[in-house]
Amino acid sequence: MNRREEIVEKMKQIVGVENVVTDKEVLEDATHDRFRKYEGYHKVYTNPLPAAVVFVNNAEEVSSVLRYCNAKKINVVPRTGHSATEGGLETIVENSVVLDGSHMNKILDIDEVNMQATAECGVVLEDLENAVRKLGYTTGHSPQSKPIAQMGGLAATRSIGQFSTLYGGIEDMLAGVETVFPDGTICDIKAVPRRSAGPDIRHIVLGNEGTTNFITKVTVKLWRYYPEFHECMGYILDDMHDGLKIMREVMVEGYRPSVARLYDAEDGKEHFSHFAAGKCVLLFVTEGPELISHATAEGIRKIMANHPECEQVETKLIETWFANLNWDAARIEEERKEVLETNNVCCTTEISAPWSAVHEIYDVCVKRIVEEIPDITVFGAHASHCYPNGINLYFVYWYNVVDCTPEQEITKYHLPIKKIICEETIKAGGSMCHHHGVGKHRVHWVDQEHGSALYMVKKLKEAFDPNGIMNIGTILPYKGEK
Amino acid sequence: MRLLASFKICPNLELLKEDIVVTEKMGIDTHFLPNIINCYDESALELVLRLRDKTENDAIELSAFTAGNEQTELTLKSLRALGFTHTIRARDNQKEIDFHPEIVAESLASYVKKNPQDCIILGKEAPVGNHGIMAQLVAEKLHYPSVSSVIDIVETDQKSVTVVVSDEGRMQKQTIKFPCVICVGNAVISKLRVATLRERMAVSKTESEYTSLNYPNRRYMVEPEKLHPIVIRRNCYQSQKSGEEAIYDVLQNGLQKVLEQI
Amino acid sequence: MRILFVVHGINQKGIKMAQKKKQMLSEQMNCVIDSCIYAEKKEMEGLRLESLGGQVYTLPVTISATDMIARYLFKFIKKMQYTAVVVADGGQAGELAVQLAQLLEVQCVTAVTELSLNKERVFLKKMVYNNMVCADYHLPEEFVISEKFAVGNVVNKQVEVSEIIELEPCNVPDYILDNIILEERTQQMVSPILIAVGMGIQSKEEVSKIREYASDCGFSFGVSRPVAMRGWGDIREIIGVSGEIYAPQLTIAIGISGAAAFMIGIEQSNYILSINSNPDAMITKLSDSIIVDEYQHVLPKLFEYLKQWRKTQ
Repeated sequence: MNRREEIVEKMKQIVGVENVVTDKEVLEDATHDRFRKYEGYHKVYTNPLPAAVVFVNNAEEVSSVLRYCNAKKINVVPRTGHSATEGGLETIVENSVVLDGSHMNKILDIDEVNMQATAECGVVLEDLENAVRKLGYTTGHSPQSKPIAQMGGLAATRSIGQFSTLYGGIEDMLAGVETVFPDGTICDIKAVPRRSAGPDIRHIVLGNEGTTNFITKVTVKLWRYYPEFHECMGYILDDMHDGLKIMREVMVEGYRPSVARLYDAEDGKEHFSHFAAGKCVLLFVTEGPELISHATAEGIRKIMANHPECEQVETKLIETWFANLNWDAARIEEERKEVLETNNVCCTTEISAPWSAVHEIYDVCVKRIVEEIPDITVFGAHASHCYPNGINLYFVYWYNVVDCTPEQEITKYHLPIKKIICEETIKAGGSMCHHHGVGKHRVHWVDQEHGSALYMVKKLKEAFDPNGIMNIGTILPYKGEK
Repeated sequence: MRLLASFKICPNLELLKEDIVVTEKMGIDTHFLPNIINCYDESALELVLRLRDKTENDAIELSAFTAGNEQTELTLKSLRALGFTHTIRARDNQKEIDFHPEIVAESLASYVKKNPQDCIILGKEAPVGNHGIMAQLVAEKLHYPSVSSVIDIVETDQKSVTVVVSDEGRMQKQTIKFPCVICVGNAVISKLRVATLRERMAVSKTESEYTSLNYPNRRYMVEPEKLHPIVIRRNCYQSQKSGEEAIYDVLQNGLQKVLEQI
Repeated sequence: MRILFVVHGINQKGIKMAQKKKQMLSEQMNCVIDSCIYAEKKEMEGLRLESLGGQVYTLPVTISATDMIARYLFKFIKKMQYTAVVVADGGQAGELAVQLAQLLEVQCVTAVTELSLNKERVFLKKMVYNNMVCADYHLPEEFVISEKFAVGNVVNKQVEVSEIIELEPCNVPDYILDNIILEERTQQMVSPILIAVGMGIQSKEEVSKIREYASDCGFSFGVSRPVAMRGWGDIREIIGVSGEIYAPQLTIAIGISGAAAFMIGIEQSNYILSINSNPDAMITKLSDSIIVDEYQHVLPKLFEYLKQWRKTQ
């Protein structure tokens, strides 16, 4: 029996024959995530095929699989919703095991007294949200991938959603978590409101991107849901920089809308041309109990009234757009057809920056990419998550793939674009990844990203994954290569 | 050789869920919906570009025609960036054309009479009216033959065009003499390519050509008298079970009876 | 009022449908209706037209070029003094209707779903806004329409035997320089059960599997337009506004969202069972029952059950 067959055989013993998939098409699909979507749509697979996709059903099975792989030095790629965008799910070495938690899809508990919900790692966020909404609650978490993304992956990537300015990112939502380490240890971090019992170990789990542990269960906070008190405001204006300044003003004054978003004219073109052609679009949504939602909305309106450069637009325009923002499987399929027919691809890179740096980062990235990268059809950005001390910028870019093979696409276009954005952002004092994770394609700059603190990141990896079997090539470069 | 593609920008009705409001002007309120190129016209535009790609570039002059308001200008600019030499807009600021393809056809025919074309290509129908009559109206006004249900445009030799027609299940390849009108149906090619930023910048100073709407004899124009949203509902039994149990559940709750009656 | 009902006679199923529609039309319009069937000679030979009843004219064509057919029919309509023309639903019905109307210089409405005579005014309905809205029209007594009638529950009545008269054949127009048949029409399955597949099905292979199953059982099969546009289904399988309209006893809608443009293709079904993983999908309100689950968890057992049921038929 060769190594591959040995792995498959052992996996079948642990999880059962029916939970080990070795169909070629499934394995090919498992070699990549949305970072290499162009290759995938063309059915080109540049990464080695994994040995198997292994579906686990409980933490004990995860423990057994990881213990085995740890002993045999087999690369394990943890996965749930398969919606990652930065290559975090790529299988870059031979005979990896893709460990899939999507069958662990039970909502275990909705605790209305303690305002918490506990779900297995394979629960789709939208399913959890729908379940709690029936009871009048919300998780407050709403990334665009909500219809597809699952709880394990959302925690592993430090994801964030559209309503983050009020509810925060996953790090603010996660109360407790169960996870399994490569040596098979199952750790359950209990859900408590807060504690000071040493460092907050939830943060070893949050954002680990499958490089130190496999998340099996999460407990997230709940908020009461008041859709009837949502207030929505939209404005159009000429200058992105004016928009950024207004966003800062709103945050610094102390208002917390659930949504504060600003689109530049290029990115906005894809969404708002029916009422804002050539303009930036600024929008706010407030929510919560009536008095709070209304007071927040009134406060923002008062600020906006002092900005004559902004023209208010009809609420219905914004509401309609918002209702159709999320991505589901049908939309991904639509994208596949469009990409194959037009050879026009959309990718993104999201960064965060302090207020003092964001303007410069925006300008230099727009300038450099338009000048240096060929075949760009759209290069724009929107800001979708606000903080008192800064904001994120979500660069959105489309390009025609011209005169190159599918496997050359990321080298010709995507990586050079990412390089410019990441380097300019870090140079200006920002972070090169706001919420999609480092994955495997921002590892080249992770040393610049962390600076002296890289020591801590490396130590965590050494401590929890000494044999280096967890998602090789993610967060930290593989074999030291840049 | 001169090819003209006619297209319509329409609201994206897929995003219209249940809030259908009939306005005084005999239409439904769609102002809050983003606009798209009507899907059949989008196929037509892309097929025209692919035909140009297959032929010597300088042998084909492309024009694009639409009737509408300012919201069409973004698309017209993109088409210029993609190589359409002329983009023509018949100005319709009052939304007169929504239920009157006759007006658009008259305007297009009037333009073509002054600017002869070898082939006019357009999609088979568009919301809001879903009339599906533009191609034939234009053809009759120009005394051109028309071919409909075209699903692919194969090639041209500058005197004729070869197309694939899907005629109620039969696929046939036809070569049609110029001048003619081609009406595109359910073509699998349905996405228009995208112009690069540089291509758009290269045409940033160019403008559309404008013409006014032309009106045919009103005697033959038809107008709806009333619109009402369609509300079709069935009393849906939603099984609370899943998998095999759900099947037996729905069988017990109505499906079995239906099967017995077949 | 003298109405001519024009039908493209490609197969007997079409003639059967035309008979029902003609029957409906004559009841609603309270007048005698003659029929004109145009078809290629070899297709015409296989058709039994007596069931249409009344005066039936046949127009042999070499190629179905509607503008040529319109010119032939125009002369015939003028000679016979028909005041109105109804073109039966078909691939190019709308085109033919418009061309006839232009020649006859009368008003035209396409894809009419209802037609009736009320106090000497002709009243009709048509779907607009991609089947989300119904438009009411009134026309004078001289008109041309193409129809998209609902005939699900019409029961064929006994009609008097037709008199069938062949007209002078319609030639190939001179603007068609060449015509090569790439694929011939296939015999359409007529079944009381329709399997309809939408974008909820995740791959071409799975669509093919379901198609194969439907074919094995003798059920009709169709897809939503997005499925066909992705190359996962044939464009001839499209259900809805841009494809076929069905009126089966049972439709099983798998992974269908419920968009209006599709629903017109199945809304005449006696019973609609949906299988959809999204409990909030639009089709929930438009179905008789729904199983909210991944289709992979449901179809194998459902198909097995229906196969067993089929054997008992």
